[in-house]
This record gives sequence, structure tokens and C-alpha cells, in this order.
Amino acid sequence: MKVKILLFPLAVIIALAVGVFWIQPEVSDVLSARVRNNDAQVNLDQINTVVSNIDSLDQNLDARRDDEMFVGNYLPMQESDDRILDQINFLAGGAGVLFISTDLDRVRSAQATSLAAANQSVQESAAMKQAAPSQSFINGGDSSVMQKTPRVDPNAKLRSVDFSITVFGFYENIKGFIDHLYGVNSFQKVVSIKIAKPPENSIGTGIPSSRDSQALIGEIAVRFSSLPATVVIPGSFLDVFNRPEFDFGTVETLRQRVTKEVMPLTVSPSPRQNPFVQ
Amino acid sequence: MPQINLSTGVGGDKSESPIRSRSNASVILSLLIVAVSIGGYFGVVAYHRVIDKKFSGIQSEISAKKSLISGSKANRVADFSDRLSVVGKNLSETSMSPNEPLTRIESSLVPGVVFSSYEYDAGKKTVSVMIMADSFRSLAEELVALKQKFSSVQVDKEAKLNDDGEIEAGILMML
Repeated sequence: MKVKILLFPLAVIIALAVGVFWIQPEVSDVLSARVRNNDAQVNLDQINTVVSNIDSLDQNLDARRDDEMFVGNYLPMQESDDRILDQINFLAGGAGVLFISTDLDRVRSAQATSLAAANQSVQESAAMKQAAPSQSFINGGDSSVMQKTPRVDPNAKLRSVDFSITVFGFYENIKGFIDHLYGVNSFQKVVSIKIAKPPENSIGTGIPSSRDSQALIGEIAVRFSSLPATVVIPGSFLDVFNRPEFDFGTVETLRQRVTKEVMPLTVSPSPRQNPFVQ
Repeated sequence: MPQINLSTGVGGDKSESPIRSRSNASVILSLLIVAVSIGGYFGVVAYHRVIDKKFSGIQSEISAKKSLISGSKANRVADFSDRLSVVGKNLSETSMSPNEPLTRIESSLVPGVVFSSYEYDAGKKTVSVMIMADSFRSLAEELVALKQKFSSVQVDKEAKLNDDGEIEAGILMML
């Protein structure tokens, strides 16, 4: 009888103990797990959006393949000294100036050093993210956007060659040549221009002697650049993947700038046994 | 005999049964409380496992989808985006034609002045010229005219009379 009297309070004590020491911690874990799941679901939704955007952007490029090729020809993946020399020669002839000489200076050392350092840090960052992929997306209950990968500024990847071009001709023709250079279908930037009267004694300089005192010497320094192909590190989220289509406004502006399209150089070698004899 | 107790004990059973039924109910209630608390615990544990299983599924899907964010499509898109970005920046940096300073100089020439050399630095946005003038007045007039076209105009080094009787001066201008 006394046992029965004590049974109810004992049951209440047991229930309270189970509630405090077992149920309550488990409920806390469940709540944390639900938040974790929500974050993971948000990240998954964002990844699905990114995948969808990549498909959409790819289709966007398929639809505007001409623009893609135009930009690819304007800013190629590899340097092409032969193409640039041919363009300069073509433009000089078209402008009516005599193409005398050109010096080439590859602008590489500083950019290559900084690029190597930047690429190293990007690869290390990507390796850390790949080693712990969950940490890339789950951020301790923070349901905000997935972390973006820091990447190298594409301008830092440019490979440039400075061409110091010397031409000879009248003022209007030199101006025309500069104008043609400005509108050529190659990624370039005019660095400096010098125009002056030719020296009185031009023997050995390659500059033709001219009885016309109005002929001038033009020295134009132009930087031509190329951009190596971009390779996406697996799992990296770039800003471009946040949009479903490209803005082709830049391409339209470029088409208005390019007024001189030089056809690609074609070669038909004629083999000879002695390269020192014509 | 009025004081003889003829009671048979039946009335005594009736007074004890409420007490017994109450004690039985308290036992049942106690057991119920314990069962509910233990049952609740196992229920929460089971729900936790369901959530964990769902999380594993989401993680697997994330890993699978990540592989789609690389490869030929992503490379093509990223490459074109980079090229577009670089071209756009160059277009804005080179929006001014390299012949623009010459055009400004042509529109500011005064009689009696001839240019013997011209240098343009696109990076520093400076123009440096050598002027041959027939007089210091013509040189001064040319400086005034140039100041209408360039933000800064100053005589660089010196202005002097050369052997041909012309005034020779170096001018430095800022775009």
C-alpha cells in the first residue's frame, strides 16, 4: 500500500529525469540538425541555380557564336607575332607610310611573377575547400549565400608584347596609320607616339633620304596582348555563374571600334635545299 | 436487544473499494507517465535519425552537382566572361583616340608657329612638343591657344633664339 502511494511521485521524478537528461539534449540536437539541413538545402538550391545558369549561358553563346568568335579573334589565347607583324605591314601600306622597323619587348616578368603567386594562392584555397567541402557551403547556421572563390583578375593574366613601330611618311599618312592601328581587330593599346622631322644625316638608320622636307618619322609604341584560356577550378563559384545570360553590350561597342579587319595570314611555303640562296 | 450488532461486514467492503480503485488508478497513471516519457525520448531519437538521413541525401546531391560546375561548359562560359571583362576595361581606358591630342593641337595653331616634334604618352596623359616660332609674341599666342585645349600648358626647360633666328621652345601639356 505504501509502495502504491510512493509510485506516483516516483514516476514523476523518473519522467522529469528522462526529460531533463535525455529528451532535452536530444531536442537541442534535433533543432540544430534542422537548421543545418535548412542551410544545406539553401546551398543545394543555389548550386542548382548555378548549374542552370551555366547551361543557359552556354546556350547563350551557342546562339551568338559570331560574337564569341569575334571576341576570341580580337583577344586571342596565344601571342601571334606573325599576325601582328602582318597587320602592321598591311595597315602601313593602306595608310601610305613606309614601315621601316619594329622592336619587340615581351612584357612578362612582373606580371608572370604576380600571376604565379596569385595562382598559387587560388589553388591552395581551392584545395582547402575540396578537402572539406561541407565547410564551403555550411557556415554554422548561417543560411546566407555560398562562399565565392577568390580568383585572379583576368587582366593580371594578360600576356603582352610591346611593338615599337617606326614609319616614314607625311603627317596626314602617319595620322591615318595611327588611326588604323586604333581600329585594328587586335587587342592593343597605344602606349606612346613620337613624330618628328627625320635627322639630316640618316645614313645607316634605315630611314630613306627624302628631298621632301614635309616627310616625318613616326615612332609608335603599341602593346598587343593575348589572354590564356580560363580553366574553372572544380567547385569554384564565379560571379558570372550568378546570371543566366551575358551582356553583349561590350561586343557591340567593340564592333563599332574595330574599323580595320585584317584577314588572317596564309602561307604557301616553297621548299628549297639551300635557305641562304633565293 | 437494541445494542446487538447484526452487521455482516458487507457494508465494510463498500467503504474500502474507493480507496483501492484510487490506488490502482495512481499505479496506472504512474506507469503511463513513465511510458510516455520513455516513448517520447525514443521518438525524438528516431526523428533525429530521419533528419540525419535527409542531411546525408542533401550532401550527396551537393557533391554530385558540384562536378557539374566545372568542365567544358563552365570553362567556355568563364573564358568568354574573362575576355569580355578585359576587352571592356580596355575599351573604356582607350576611349580617347590616340590622335585626339594632335587634333586639339591642329585646332589651336596660330600663324608663325611650326611644330618640330611631338611626343604623346598615353599612360601619363602628357603631350610634349618642340615649337619653332617666328617671334616670342607668336610663341605666347600659341601658348594661350593651347591652354584652351589642354588642362595644363607650360614651357618645359627654356625658350631661346636659335641660329636660324627662330624662337625654339619645349612645351609640356596635360590632357
